[in-house]
Amino acid sequence: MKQNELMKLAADADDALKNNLLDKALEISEVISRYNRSAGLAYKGVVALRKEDFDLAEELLLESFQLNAKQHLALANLIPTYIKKRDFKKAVAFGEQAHAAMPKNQSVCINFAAALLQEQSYSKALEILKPHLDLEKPNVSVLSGLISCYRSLFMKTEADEMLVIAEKHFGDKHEIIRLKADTLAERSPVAALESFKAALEKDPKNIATRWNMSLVQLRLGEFGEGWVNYDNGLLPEVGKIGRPLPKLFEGAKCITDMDTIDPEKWTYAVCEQGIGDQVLFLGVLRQFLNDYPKTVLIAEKRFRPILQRSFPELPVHPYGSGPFLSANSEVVNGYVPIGSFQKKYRSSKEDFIKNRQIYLNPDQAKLAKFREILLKKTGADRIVGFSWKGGYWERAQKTKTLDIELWDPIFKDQSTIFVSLQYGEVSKEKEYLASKYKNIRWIDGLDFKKDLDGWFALMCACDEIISVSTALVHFAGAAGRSVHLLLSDRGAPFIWGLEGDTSIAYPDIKIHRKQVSQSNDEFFEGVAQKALTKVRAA
Amino acid sequence: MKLYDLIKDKLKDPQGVISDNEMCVLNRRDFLYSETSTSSAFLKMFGAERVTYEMYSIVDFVHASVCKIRPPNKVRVFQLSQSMTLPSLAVSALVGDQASQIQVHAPRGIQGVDAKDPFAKMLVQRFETQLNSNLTMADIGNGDVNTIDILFCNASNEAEVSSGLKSFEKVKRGFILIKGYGRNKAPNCGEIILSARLNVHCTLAGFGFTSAI
Repeated sequence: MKQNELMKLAADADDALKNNLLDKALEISEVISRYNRSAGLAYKGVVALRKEDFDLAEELLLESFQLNAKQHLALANLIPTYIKKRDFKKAVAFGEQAHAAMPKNQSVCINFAAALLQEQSYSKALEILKPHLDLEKPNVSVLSGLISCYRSLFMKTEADEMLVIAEKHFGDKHEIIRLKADTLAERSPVAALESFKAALEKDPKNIATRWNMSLVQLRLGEFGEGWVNYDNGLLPEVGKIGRPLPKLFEGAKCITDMDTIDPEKWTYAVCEQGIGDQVLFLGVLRQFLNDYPKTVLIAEKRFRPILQRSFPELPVHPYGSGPFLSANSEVVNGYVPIGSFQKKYRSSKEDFIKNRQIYLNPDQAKLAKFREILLKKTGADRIVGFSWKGGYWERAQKTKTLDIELWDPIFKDQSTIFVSLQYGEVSKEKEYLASKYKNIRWIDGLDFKKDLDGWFALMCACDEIISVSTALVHFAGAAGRSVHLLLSDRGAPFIWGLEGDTSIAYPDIKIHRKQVSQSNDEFFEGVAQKALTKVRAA
Repeated sequence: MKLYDLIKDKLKDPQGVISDNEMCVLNRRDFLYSETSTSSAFLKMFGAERVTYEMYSIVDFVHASVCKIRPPNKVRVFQLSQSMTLPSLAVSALVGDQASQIQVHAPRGIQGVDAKDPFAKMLVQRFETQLNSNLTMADIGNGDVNTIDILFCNASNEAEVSSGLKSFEKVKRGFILIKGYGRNKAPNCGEIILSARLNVHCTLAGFGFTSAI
């Protein structure tokens, strides 16, 4: 076949794809395959992608690309294929190559940016999308990508500007209404909820919208519907920013409706998400065990000593136990991700408040030892633990962290010994604080991330804890310790709500909310006065 | 003492080490001691975390061998040595209800196992009911096409290994696993192996096995 005839066939295949005539496109691609196997496979891959047969699309497109590394059609379509397969690392890897080969191709850039957004590479995504912004004739995907980038980078003004343009051109599209809701989620949750509901009117089954909406509902205290929507986070459409569960449990039955559990059979309760979320969710464990005594808790090894001490009758197994579940369906119901307990036992604010109690116990011997060492060595009467940064995701870190340089009004209190309870890399802050204060202690040789039991005993050895929102607050809260929780004006996890100075989840947490109108100094002076005055008075 | 502790000062930053007091392998990935290891989870349930690396490896091998079993397949375990109770129990726990039937025959009895919690106790109780079968050694290899025969023996007893291998000659589907097969002075039963045209693969962890697939 001559080159121009092949080109004509390719144009026909493009036309068929453009008009969504997939069977015709497939027929033409068969012919193309006979003369140019790589090109034929690429077209077949695109058809498979359109038919949502993502495994076949991956297979065909990869083979096409392996046969001819310059097969741009295959390369470009591997990005959306991996996005659909929720394998964002591979989507980014092929996106890099495709972008290098076709830097001006808008759909390549949009897909590449979408993959980058999933991998939290906001600045890079912004760089890719910016050249494609046409203010006269904007593309909805470019705009929504830009809004997501700006929002995640805390560039509020730019996000708002893009949102105005998006609403002007595409205000009735589900995607844009949802983005508006996401943008409003932290600064105006009530308005955000309205937008989420409007978005769902356009696309009632949209899983990602329901998941995002659940976080706003929970923040607003609408626990009943909020926890129901929260279960959308378990679905693959939401991906790893939702509630991804260990692969070892695949193949077993995932239970989200507690009423379907047969109490005569065994049920695995699987810890999920960050360690702080796990502690929060375990607040209902005693009630769950009361209803379903035949429960095995699946948890990280580092958490095991605390759990075994706090729930002595409960079998606590590692994540490696997953295969026992799928192999023993006659004696095991399946597994419940512990976040899904909540909708049965915490469907209102009152449910939280009436069940607010101590449920995690520290190692008393370790606790006593820490107190003895800290008080004896320093001659101080009181110990105050502190932690200034938290969060796993970049965005959460930016929301939660209150830089150590702002804490001066706290540490000025020379009558108190402060103990760092901060996990992770702290060398810079340690150096900074050592140069300014003599009343701060660091426990060397205790890895807070690995030795959770030691860390827990240390925090429980403190008379007071002052901390930003991090796992520490949940552990200390669940142990009934006195905690002063510092929330920035950039938002906070839903469990701390929007107002009030006490926690609905734990017995003794005092919440200090920084107001936008307050300077950092004013905020910390206020905290110091409330938290440390109480220490002195005690 | 782990062998690695004796030599670590003489090595240049090995990237992965598997070691116990008899063996040390460098630059290998270890899948058995991690939190996501099913072998490790199984052994922990029975308070057996301190067993040798070989036993971790045996349980893992058992899991790898039985993980695709589905009805109508039936599993029959012939445990020739008391010391092979954990592997037999692993078959029972990991196959679970994925086989139409599991039967266990242990002519020399089983060792006591220390079930650490009620879930583990339930697994042991079920294993004990599977032990109350009418199987005999004469049944090895006489099952139908859906029957999988698994033989466990320990190389510390030469007669046991010889009889195990001899019986395995008749097996149409299944495997024989011999603990301690690679140990110095362990019987290799060369004549039986050769005459039956078998090959017992000896793993680095120490156990040997041969399969009928």
